[in-house]
Amino acid sequence: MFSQQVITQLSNGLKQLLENCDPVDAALIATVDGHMVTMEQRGNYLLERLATMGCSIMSLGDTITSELKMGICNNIISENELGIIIFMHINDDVVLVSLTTQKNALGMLLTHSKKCAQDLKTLVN
Amino acid sequence: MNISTYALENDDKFFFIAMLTMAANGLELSEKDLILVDIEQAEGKKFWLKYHTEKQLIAFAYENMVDATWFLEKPIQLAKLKSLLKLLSQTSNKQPIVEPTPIVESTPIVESTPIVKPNDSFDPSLFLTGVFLKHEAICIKAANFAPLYILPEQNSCLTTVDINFRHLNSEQKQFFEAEISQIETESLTADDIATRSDLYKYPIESFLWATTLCSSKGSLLNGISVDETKILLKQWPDFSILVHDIAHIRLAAIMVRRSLTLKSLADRTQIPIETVVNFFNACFITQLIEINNNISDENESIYSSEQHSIFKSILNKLE
Amino acid sequence: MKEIKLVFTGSMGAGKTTAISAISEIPVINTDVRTIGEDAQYKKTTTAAMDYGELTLDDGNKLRLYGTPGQERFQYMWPIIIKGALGLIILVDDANSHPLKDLALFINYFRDHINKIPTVVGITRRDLEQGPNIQEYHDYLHKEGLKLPIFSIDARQRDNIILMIQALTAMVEFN
Repeated sequence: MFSQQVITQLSNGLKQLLENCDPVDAALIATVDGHMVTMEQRGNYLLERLATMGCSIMSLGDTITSELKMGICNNIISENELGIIIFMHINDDVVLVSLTTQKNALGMLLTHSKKCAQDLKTLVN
Repeated sequence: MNISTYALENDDKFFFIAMLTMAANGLELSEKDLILVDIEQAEGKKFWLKYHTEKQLIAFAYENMVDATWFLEKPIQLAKLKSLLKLLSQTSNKQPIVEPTPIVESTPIVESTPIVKPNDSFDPSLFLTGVFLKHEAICIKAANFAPLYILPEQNSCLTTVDINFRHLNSEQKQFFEAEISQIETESLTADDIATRSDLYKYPIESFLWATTLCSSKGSLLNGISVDETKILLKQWPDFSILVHDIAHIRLAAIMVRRSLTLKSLADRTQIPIETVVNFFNACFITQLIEINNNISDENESIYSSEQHSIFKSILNKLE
Repeated sequence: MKEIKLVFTGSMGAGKTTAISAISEIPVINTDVRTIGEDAQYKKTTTAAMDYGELTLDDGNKLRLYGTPGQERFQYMWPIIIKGALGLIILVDDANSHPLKDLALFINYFRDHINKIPTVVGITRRDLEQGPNIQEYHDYLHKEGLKLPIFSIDARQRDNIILMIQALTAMVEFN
């Protein structure tokens, strides 16, 4: 779907996200039908499955938002006992998933992820 | 001609009996006593080795490994059985015997199945079913129905009529009930209709099933007893291409699980015995039946009556 | 109100969403996404989470119709959706390159459920001259010790979906 050059650029974008925001433990980009495009992480997460699950969550979010006539689903936040996961569209074709294990880092994670998604949008459009 | 069977599996035996009447139709058969022996069964093989020099035996197997003079290939097909009978009827009583084979331990003749045909039995050869069982490329005209082209090589039937096997109209029913005397046939090759674009194509099975179901009218195939022969359905019929109603679906559901006689099937399902018999005949002709006299497990159902009533209410809503 | 749930599962493109649409009284809620990778050559969109349809029964209870995603990578959705199902309908696209393998995937995955709830197999997009003979599907099931109904169906035809539900009903009656 993407050239190797674009994938490298996307990968660099994720590295940037991890560098700019310490609490981010992992980030990935997946196609809306559940295929991993690229990922970066500090830990040792099994991110392949997260790519597919992220796409299911995003599609459910899109369906719910459209059902309620609330426009476009910008992002989905999963706040958990041991961390936070954020799912958001980069464009209609790809999704950004980022996560942190710090429970009080929601603001930072959301802000940096949004900026990252915006920066990457020009690459994937 | 009297043909008995030895060491045949139940399915083969009953299928042979059912086919024999059809295959013998129109042939002048000589007075012979023959035994069809399944030489792939240990008992049958022993029997063959012992008696093939003394008696007139027909070897029954996938391959003629004993080089038998009279051989019937498995699985039984009407065309092959018919040509065997023809051959038998054309030869004298004393047959050449294959090379002597050493005799092994003696085995008594334990099985002999006389072919008895009750008056009310269903004889497929008297109906359209018999034509389909011949496996010949043929064009059929019957009961004012559009010509039907049968191409066994392609396992298909073609006609200009768009048939919904779920809801046959009266004209179609009449066609499927047609007796042999009402049917005109012409030989056919695939090339004859190759350029026709106005034909609908159906699997032969759909027609074989429909003709048997419609023409049986409660008469049972030869060799089967309503209250003695226990039967099992090998697999569910593909009802999406077969004439059926809800009674047939209910029968299939019980017949794939339990080995029962036709009478007990009718009793358990409260479906009229005629319907059970018609369904059985259609299953038999399309080779879905297994004769199985073993007692089925009568385990308690894993489903509750509440589940059944929920499904029934779903159907009520949909139908 | 009872939870009455029928689940449609099976390979991608087999017609699960279409089958649910054929009997649902509400427009099917789906989670379709554009196919991007290799799948795009077979189908433009695919279900990423689930499909959902409804039918109100005469007693006021709702029959909930759920469709699973077809691709194996969405397998994590399958146990979520099958939980509490009253019956299972497996659809296999006969025109796929390995339809028997597709059937095997779903039979193996749902085997425990198949032993407990009535299950029927629908083969879609059958071609008389190509693809496996229906007998090959039966032979596979026999090897697995199963005698499930297998019907060649058109998922767009309401009659065909009703046939599968009739079979499920009869299986429950005579198990």
